[in-house]
Amino acid sequence: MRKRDIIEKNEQIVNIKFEGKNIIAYEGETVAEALFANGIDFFMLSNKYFRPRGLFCKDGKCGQCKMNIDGNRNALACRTFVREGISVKRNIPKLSIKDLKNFSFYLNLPFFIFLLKNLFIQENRIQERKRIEEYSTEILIIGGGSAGNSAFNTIKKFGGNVILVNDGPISAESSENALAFENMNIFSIEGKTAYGISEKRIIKINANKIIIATGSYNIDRPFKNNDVPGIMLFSEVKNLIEKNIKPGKNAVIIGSSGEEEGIANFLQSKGVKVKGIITENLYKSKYDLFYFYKIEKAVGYRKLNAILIGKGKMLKKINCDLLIFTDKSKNLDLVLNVNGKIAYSREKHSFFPVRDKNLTISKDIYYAGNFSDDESLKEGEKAAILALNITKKKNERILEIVGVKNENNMQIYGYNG
Amino acid sequence: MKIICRSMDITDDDIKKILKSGYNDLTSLILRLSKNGAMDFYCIRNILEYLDAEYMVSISEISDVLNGSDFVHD
Repeated sequence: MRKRDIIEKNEQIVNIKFEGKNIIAYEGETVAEALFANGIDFFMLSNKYFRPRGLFCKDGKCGQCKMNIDGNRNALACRTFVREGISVKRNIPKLSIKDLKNFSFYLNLPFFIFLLKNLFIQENRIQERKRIEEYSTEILIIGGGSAGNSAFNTIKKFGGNVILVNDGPISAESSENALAFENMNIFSIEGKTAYGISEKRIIKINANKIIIATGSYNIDRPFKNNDVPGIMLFSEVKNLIEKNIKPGKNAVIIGSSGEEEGIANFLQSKGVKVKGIITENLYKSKYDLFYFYKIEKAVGYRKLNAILIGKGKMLKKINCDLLIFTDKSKNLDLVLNVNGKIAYSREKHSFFPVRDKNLTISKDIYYAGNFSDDESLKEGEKAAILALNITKKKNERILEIVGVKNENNMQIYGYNG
Repeated sequence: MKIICRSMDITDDDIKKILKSGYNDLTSLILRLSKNGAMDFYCIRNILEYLDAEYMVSISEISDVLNGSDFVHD
């Protein structure tokens, strides 16, 4: 077993090279997961202050796991799956005289020596040519979480023509009129054409309607040294545990999403000791509760060793190797991309899409999803019904199928109205 | 050092420095912070969150920046 494996694995072994040394990975793992399972915490140095960075978000959004994979210097280790024999190296930041005057650069002396050793090695950059595929559909759903899945299944149930695209795995099943693409990141929408990219291909999808259900993501908080490896979003921690990789031994949870106690129970059940919860939300808990405490600083450089928390003049030190953020904010990149409007809520520390009662953010583009799974399911279903309703006016085939098969449902959701 | 934007290594010190030297509005502040590279929505969100927490920036200013975010690019 590798250093951080929770159980003995049965998957096919894949041998990869990290900094020239052989390490074991398993089929289906990303490079980031394989490195972390082998006890490797820091993946890159940040570009400006040369600070060690490691696993943080798992979604390819934070850019903290950009590594040199088979010569591609900006490959995201969290989005690249392991293949037999691939070579993985830490990136070498571009240096300038100004950088060399930067004191924090020298704090990481062993890595500085590594940089000097590698500075003159010529990189062979391999750029794979990607295939471009084009699809057309009546309704495109972006996002395969609760809202996206619910919308997909509703449209499928009514026989609608739909494509679902998710940037991670997909649980929904494809059928003749309903296609699902997993591990595909939609990076742009122009009019009603969406462009997606995955490791191997680029897709172009033309749609009559688009439902954006990109969900929410965990967010961090600012405090001193808040980027030390070992400080992660819950999305990453959950992903590691689902892959049977232990994210740490002693954890502290910080957040006010209301899910903190459940997350603590989940961690304890997987052998991670919860040392406390820092929150403004919970009043009672079986765990040590630090109510309205703030994190003053994280202790550690290449790996988290402890955190210092404070409330007024009280200061406490908690030894831990894992700090987990559970606060959430909505994923609104594509909303801005289609000229949707965003509003800010100071209470929730989050931005929201501005939409009308029909869930539209701009013409023929819907936004579905909320912070809780239950509400997201309902919104996904509602958006699907609304999108189908408008589509079927233009498409007799859908109108017939929906009318014959689901008359009752149509009335419940006001199809005829 | 508090990291406000991970991908661009923007810290609270960077923001304080610019605020001290004076700035006209949030848009120009963010443009100054992003002068050396592309800034994505996540960075802007974190900067606004930080400014709001530390300096109580008005909600309308934040909305204006986000909804007129022509400078958001990858």
